Amino acid sequence: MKKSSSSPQAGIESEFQIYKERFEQAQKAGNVGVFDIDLVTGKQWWSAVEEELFGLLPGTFSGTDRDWRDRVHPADLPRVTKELKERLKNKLEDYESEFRIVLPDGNIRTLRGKGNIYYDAKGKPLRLIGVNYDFTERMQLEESLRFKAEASKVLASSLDYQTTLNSVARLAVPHVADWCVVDLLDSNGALQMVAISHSDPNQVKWARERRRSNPPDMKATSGLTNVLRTGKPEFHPVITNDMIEKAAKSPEELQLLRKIGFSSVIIVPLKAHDKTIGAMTFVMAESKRHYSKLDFQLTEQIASRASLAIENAQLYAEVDEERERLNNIVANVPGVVWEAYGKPDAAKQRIDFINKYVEKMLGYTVDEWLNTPNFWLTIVHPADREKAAAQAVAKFESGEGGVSRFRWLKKNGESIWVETHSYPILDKQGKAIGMRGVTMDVSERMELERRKDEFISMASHELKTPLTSIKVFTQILQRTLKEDSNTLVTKSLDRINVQVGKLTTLVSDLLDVSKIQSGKLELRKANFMLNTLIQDCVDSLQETTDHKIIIKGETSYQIYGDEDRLGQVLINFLTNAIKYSPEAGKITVAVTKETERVIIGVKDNGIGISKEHHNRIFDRFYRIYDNEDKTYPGLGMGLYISSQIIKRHEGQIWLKSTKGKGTTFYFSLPIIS
Amino acid sequence: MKKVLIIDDDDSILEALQIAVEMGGYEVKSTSSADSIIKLCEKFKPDLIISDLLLSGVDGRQLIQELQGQTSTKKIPIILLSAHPEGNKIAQTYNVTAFLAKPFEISELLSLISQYTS
Repeated sequence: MKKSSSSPQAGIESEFQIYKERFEQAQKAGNVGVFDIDLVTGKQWWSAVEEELFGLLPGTFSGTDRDWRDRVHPADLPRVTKELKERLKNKLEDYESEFRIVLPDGNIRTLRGKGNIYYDAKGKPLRLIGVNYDFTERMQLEESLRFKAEASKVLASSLDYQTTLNSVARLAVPHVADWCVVDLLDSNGALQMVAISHSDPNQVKWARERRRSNPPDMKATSGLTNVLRTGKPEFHPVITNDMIEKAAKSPEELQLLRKIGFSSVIIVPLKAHDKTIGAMTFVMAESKRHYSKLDFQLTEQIASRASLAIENAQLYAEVDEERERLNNIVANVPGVVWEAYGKPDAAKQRIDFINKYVEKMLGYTVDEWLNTPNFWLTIVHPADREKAAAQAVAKFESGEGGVSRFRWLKKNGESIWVETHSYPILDKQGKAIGMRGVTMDVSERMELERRKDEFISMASHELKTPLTSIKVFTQILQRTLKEDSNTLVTKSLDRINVQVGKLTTLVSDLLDVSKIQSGKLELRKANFMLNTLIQDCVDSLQETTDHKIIIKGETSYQIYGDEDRLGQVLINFLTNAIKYSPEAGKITVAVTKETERVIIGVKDNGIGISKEHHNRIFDRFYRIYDNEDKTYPGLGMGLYISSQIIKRHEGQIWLKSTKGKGTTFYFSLPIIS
Repeated sequence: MKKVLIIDDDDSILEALQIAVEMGGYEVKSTSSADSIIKLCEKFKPDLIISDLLLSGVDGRQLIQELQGQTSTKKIPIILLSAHPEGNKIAQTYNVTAFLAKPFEISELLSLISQYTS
C-alpha cells in the first residue's frame, strides 16, 4: 500500500476511493457486473453494473437471490441451480455458468458468469464471488455467422431452389429471425410465397391463410411490394407504434399487428440477371430483438447468394429445356445422330449422345448404347470390323473426318449397310478427343447400286457380243476385198471398222464410269517403259487418222503403274486432239522431266476451250455447250475416267487452252529413279 | 496344217471366227456346246483351243479345268475370249495361255494363234 504525504487516515481513505472508482470504471467499461454471495446466510451483494445487467434500478437490489430467480429464464433456471449444487458438492473452486434472463420489457439476454467458490477447512462452502457479463451480442454474432455458413452450403447444394429457399428460411429461425419469409415473382409477375418459417407451426398456418385472404398491396410505398418494385432493400431497425398504426388497414388489423409485436424488419430483394425476382423478409417480433447494421449486411449477403442459386437453377433449367428441344428435333431424324468421346477403336470409347431413332434402326436401346463401351464396333459385321475400325481411327487422327461404309448387325441378327459421316471433336489445342456424326441406313441404296453395277456389267457384255461379230465380219470382208481394191467398198469397210471401234470405247467407258463410282476400278500396276507405251498408242491412232502425230522429247522413263489404263488416258487425249482440230494437221506428244515426275502433254491447234470450262472439264458427264458454235458429240466420260486413273497413280492432270488457239492436255506421273 | 478348236455359244461369233481363223490358214472345228469336249479333242486333236468364258450349259471355267485335268488335253494351249468386265482377271486365275477381250482385231487373234502353235 502506498503511503500518503498528509494524514495517514485521510491518505488511506482517498486511496480506497481511487481503487473503488477504478473498480467501478473498469466494470462499466467492460459491462461486467460483480456479485458476492454468502453461502452460509444466503445474503448477496451486487455491484451497480450487475443491477443494470439484470434490469434493476440503481440501489433496488433486494440482497437475496429473489431478484436473480425472478430474471433467469424459466427454461434455464433448474439447470443453472443444479449446476451450482453439483459444483458445491464436488468442492470445485471454479464457478462458470451461462443462462438467459428475461428483462421487464420482454427482451431476452444471455449472460455468462465466472467466479470462485471458497470453502472452510471442513469443506463447507462459505462464499461465491464472481462476475456476470452480457454475452447476447457475441452469441448472436456467432449464430449469424453459423446461419450464413449453413445457408450458403444449402444454397450451393441443389438446383431445386424452392427446396433450398425453404431450408434457408428454416435455418434463420429462431437465431436470426422470429419470422423468415421468401417471396418470388412467377413468370406472370404474380407474387408467390415459396417459403415461410416460424418456431410455431400454428403461426405459420395462420400466416399462410392470411396471405391468401389478404394479399399484399402491390402499390404500397414501403414493405415487400416496394422492395420488389424498386429492387432496393428496406431496413427498419425499430418498428414504432406509429409505423404499425400507419400500416394497419383496419382496427382489427391493428390489433393483430400489435399482437404479433413486430420489433425489427429487414426486406432484401432477390435478383437474377439484374431483374428483381423476389425478396427475403426477416422479422424480429416476440424476441423483442432489433437488427443491427451487421445483421442487415448479413441478410444482404444471404440474399445475393440465394439470387445466385436461383439464377443458376434457372439457367440450368433453360439449358435443360434447350437440350430437350434439340433431343426432340433429332429424335425423328431418319438416321443415327451421335457423339462419342475417346479414340474410336479404344475399349473405353463411350457414346455421349445418341438419338432415339437408333432404337428403330437397330433394335438396341439408347441405354445399351450409352452404357456399353465401344458399342458401335461390337455390332459391326465381323467381316467389316477391322476395316471399319481402321477407317474410324483414320478419320479421328487426321482431324478431318470423312465418310465410311460398313455393315451393322441388328439386334434380331439381320445386317444392314450403313454410311457414316463423322467429324472429330477437337480440344483447344486442336487434338481430336472424340467424334460426332450421322449414320444412315444405306442398304436400299447399296442394293440399287449393286443392281445398277450388275446391269451395266451385263449390258456391256451383251453389247460387246454383237460388236465382236460385227468387227470380225468387217475384218473378214476387208481382208477378202483387199485384193479387189474396190476403193468404195474397202473405204466403207474401214469406216465401219472405225465406228465399231468408237462404239466399243463408249461401251467400255460406261463400264469404267460405273466401276469408278462404286470404287471397283482395279489397277494392275507394274514397272514399264513410257516410250513403248507412247509409241504403241501413237502407232495405233496414226493408222486411223490423217493428222500427223509427232513425239517430242526424251521418253525412256520407267513408270510404275497400270500400262493399259495409262494407255487409255493417252488414247483419250489423242482422240480428243484429233476430234477437236478438224482443220489442223499436226498433233504433238511432248514429254518433259521435272525433278521427280515426268509430264506428258498432248498439243493440238484446234478450236480450243474457253477458260470458264477449265475447272470443270474433268467432272463426270461434263459437256461443253457452246452458244456460238455447236455442241460437241460425246458423253463427258473420257476425261473424267482419265482424271480418275491419273489420280490413282499419284499424278496430276490439267490443261492449257485459249479459245480458237488450240489446247494442250497434260498429265504427270512419278518416275522410278 | 495346224488345227484349232473354237468354242463359243454365240453362233454369229462362232461363224465369224471359223471363217477368220480358216482364212489365217488353219484347219478349224467349231462348236457352240461344251458337252463332251474331251471326246471331241481326243478325236480332232487340236493344236490350240479358242474358248469363250461364259458358255450356256457348261461354264467356261469348268471347261478349262476339265481340259487342264485330262492327260490327253492338258498340254493344248487355250486362248480365252470374253466380253466380261473381269475377263482378264479370271483368265489369270485359271492360268490359261492367253486372254483376248472382246471385241478384238483379227490380226491380234491370228498372231496369238501363230505364237502358240509354232
